[in-house]
Amino acid sequence: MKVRTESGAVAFRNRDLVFYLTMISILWTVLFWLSAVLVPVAAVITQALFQDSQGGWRALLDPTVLSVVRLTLWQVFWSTLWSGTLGLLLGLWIGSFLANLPRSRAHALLVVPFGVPTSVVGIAWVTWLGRTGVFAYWGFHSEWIYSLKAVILAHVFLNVPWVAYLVSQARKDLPHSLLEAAKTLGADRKCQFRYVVWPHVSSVFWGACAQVSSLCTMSFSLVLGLGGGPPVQTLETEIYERLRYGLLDISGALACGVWELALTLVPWVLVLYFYSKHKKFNFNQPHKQVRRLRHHATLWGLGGFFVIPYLVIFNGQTPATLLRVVLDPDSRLQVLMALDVSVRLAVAASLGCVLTVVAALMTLNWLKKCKFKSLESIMNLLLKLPSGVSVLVLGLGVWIAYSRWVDPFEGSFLVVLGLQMTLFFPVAFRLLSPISESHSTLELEGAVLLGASRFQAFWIIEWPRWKGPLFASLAAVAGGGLGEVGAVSLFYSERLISMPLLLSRWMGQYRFAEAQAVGGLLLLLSFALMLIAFELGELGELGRLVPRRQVEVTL
Amino acid sequence: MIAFACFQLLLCLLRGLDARSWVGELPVEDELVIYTYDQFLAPGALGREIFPLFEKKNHCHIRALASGNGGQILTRLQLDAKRGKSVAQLIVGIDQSSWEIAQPWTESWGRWLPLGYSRLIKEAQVERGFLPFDYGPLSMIADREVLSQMNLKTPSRLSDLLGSEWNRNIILQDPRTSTPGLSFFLYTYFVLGEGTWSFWKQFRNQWLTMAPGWEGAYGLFLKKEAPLVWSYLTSQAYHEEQGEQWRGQNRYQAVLFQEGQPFQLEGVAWVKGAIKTQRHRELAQKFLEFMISLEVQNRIPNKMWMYPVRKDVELPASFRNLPKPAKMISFQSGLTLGRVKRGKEIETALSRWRQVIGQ
Repeated sequence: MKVRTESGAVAFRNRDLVFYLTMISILWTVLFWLSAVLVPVAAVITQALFQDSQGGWRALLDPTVLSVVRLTLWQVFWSTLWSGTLGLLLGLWIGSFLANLPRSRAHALLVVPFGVPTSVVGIAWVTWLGRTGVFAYWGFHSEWIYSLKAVILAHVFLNVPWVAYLVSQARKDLPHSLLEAAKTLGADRKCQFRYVVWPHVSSVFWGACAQVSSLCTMSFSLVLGLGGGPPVQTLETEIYERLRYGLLDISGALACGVWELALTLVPWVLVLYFYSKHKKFNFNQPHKQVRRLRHHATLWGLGGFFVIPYLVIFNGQTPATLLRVVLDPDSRLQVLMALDVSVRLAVAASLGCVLTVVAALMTLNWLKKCKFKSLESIMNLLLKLPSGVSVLVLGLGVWIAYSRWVDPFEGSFLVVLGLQMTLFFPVAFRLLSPISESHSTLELEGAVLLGASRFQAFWIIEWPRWKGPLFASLAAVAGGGLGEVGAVSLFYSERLISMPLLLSRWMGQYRFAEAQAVGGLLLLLSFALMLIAFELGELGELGRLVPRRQVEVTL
Repeated sequence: MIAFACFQLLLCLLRGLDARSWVGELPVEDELVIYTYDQFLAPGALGREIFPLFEKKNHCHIRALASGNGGQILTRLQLDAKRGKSVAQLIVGIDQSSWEIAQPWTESWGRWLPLGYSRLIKEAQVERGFLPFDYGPLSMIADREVLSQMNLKTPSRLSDLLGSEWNRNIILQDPRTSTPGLSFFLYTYFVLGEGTWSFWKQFRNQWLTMAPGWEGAYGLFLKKEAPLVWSYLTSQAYHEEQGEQWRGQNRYQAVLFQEGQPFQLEGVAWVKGAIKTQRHRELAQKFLEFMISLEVQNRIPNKMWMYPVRKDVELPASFRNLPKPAKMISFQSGLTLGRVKRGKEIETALSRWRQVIGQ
């Protein structure tokens, strides 16, 4: 009798704890979404359209703003066209032999360029294309640097491997038996592609294109660094310039913000639509163990091709330059301060982001349990919204909505942290939500019935499934946070200079060698974190319990 | 209860993370808060050398806030004024054109004049509210080595820059962000009058890059990315002191135009409504006097690579060897409207420039 009373009390305490944790999660999720997404976005829209005394609707149709919109669309069109076309061809080719490889680390190389900090990308392309750059040294003189062509080239190099990665995953999952059947029925290669391959990969391909166009619209530091200033102005650089450059023009920034929202939210809706249309094949295919060495070598070669351009920032002088930076007290102090800011930001953003995602998943589970189906799907959709909003537009919204408390020129770690958490929230959310959806309620309840506490049950049954994706999310967000430029550029101050900002500042002070050396460090850190994220996401329990493609498509 | 405790803990954590960046740190009685541009506070720059001297002399503390470049200081002033929260009492490093725009947010000295004001050159005695501490004519600087490699001859007038040989061979600064960039734009506006817009329409494909600041532009120039850059005439003196030669002559040469050269006055101004106590006013006045004292003025040529505004400062030999512009152009006399509206005229012209460039 005594035992039953004690276990009853324990069960009550457990229920109590779970209840409080769920309530805190709901509160935190709602507060986070309202303050970090809804309020800033609503501030931009309402101020631009209804409250702005200097223009309102008219500011949206201002000829200068419209010319910037045109140039943005032009840049996005060419970047997406080239990235999509090349990525599709490459993805189909890789996918056709990927089915023969159970898993290749070389495939990860295709994801790695996505984690390269944009400031490093900028420095690398300047080093290649500059008039005194590597190409010029080899005798190939081009006039691409500081032009729209340079921006498009950098975008294409960043996005082709990403499109290829997604398409190759989709192509890989296509059952070989379907192709064999088509062949038996007399279909030639063209017909096989048209009636079997294309219907299977098309939704992923269009989704990837929509994603690329959204990312190219949001591209900020590459346009700033490689575009060469006016007349190469996109909506992102225009927002930044109207806020941080001379002649503060909030009205113009708001007009650009509304256009930017329109241009990024439409692809976001398309991404969700196309990925939801993608059919999944849930049976394993036998691996043909043939010509694997050649395939591995091809993958390494292709992956390397898209990574090598960024390695140009390492040269024979890098160790000596790094030593010079370390020995010079002033440079050392600047690097240490920037490293401190970047690491604090990366750690805080990854922890905050993952905790917020966990809270959001608990909220969604609670809604599911309470059978609020429509509320659950709305919430699910809203939580993915930050993917479709540029960090500069969010920053502009924060600037407008919280200007009473936030002075952008004084710098605010909190605001930068909040913006980075919002920016990377969808990444962690998409990595972790499949785990949450497939949680083992029966085993958990069984363990509790057998006398385990909720914590013990979670630790034994759930934790092994969660730890891989959790650490992968932490690494992915930390890697992204290290190289993030938009949020930091908007709310930096003298004591809040991160590594990417220090790089651009040193570039501006003719300290090219030092900037390259420090950029190399940043690149190595980002590569390492990206690979850790990929390894954990791939090798952890995630890969076993959830269809791999589903996770990778959403990475 | 638990929820409340967690929320409190979170707040404490976040406050801890951001402890140094809460807004609203009001200046204390003995603290002078100054907005300036990044380069002024860079290692080895004038700011780092003279601020401790002033602190020692006046038993006060200077909190210098590096605010990007000249254009960004304006944004910051404007934002402070909008929010009704003045952070700094002084701005150091705005030029005469930026000051025209910044007038609504700056404060006049009234009848008071800083000690030593009469010793300034005539051009520096602009208006009671803007105190120049250095000046320098602006000009294109050419890299003779690159010019010779490209078989180019230096231009001698503005219209020469439109020639096809200069296509993507000039580095400029963005007039919205950089004070030299704004000076170049106003120079064309003053010299070409109504022809300004057709000039810029043709000129917009001529530059290699329009950098946000002078440092970035000059850095690219030194990397031999282009043979011409818009800079200060005194840049030639800097390179001469560094001993940079090419075929027995100065490698970097100032290029003078027949139309004359604009000049930039770099100065200090008070922020409107920010000087609230007698002690602050006293410190602000002393700071202005300090900036035109011999102690600071003697440091100007070798630290700022600009001319000091005081007549009685001995210049280094490299400054004495500089070419003399045919004409010095002052924008103040060139602009068409009255004093109060000059800032507005610059803003309108910049807005039109933006349209012309974007077309």
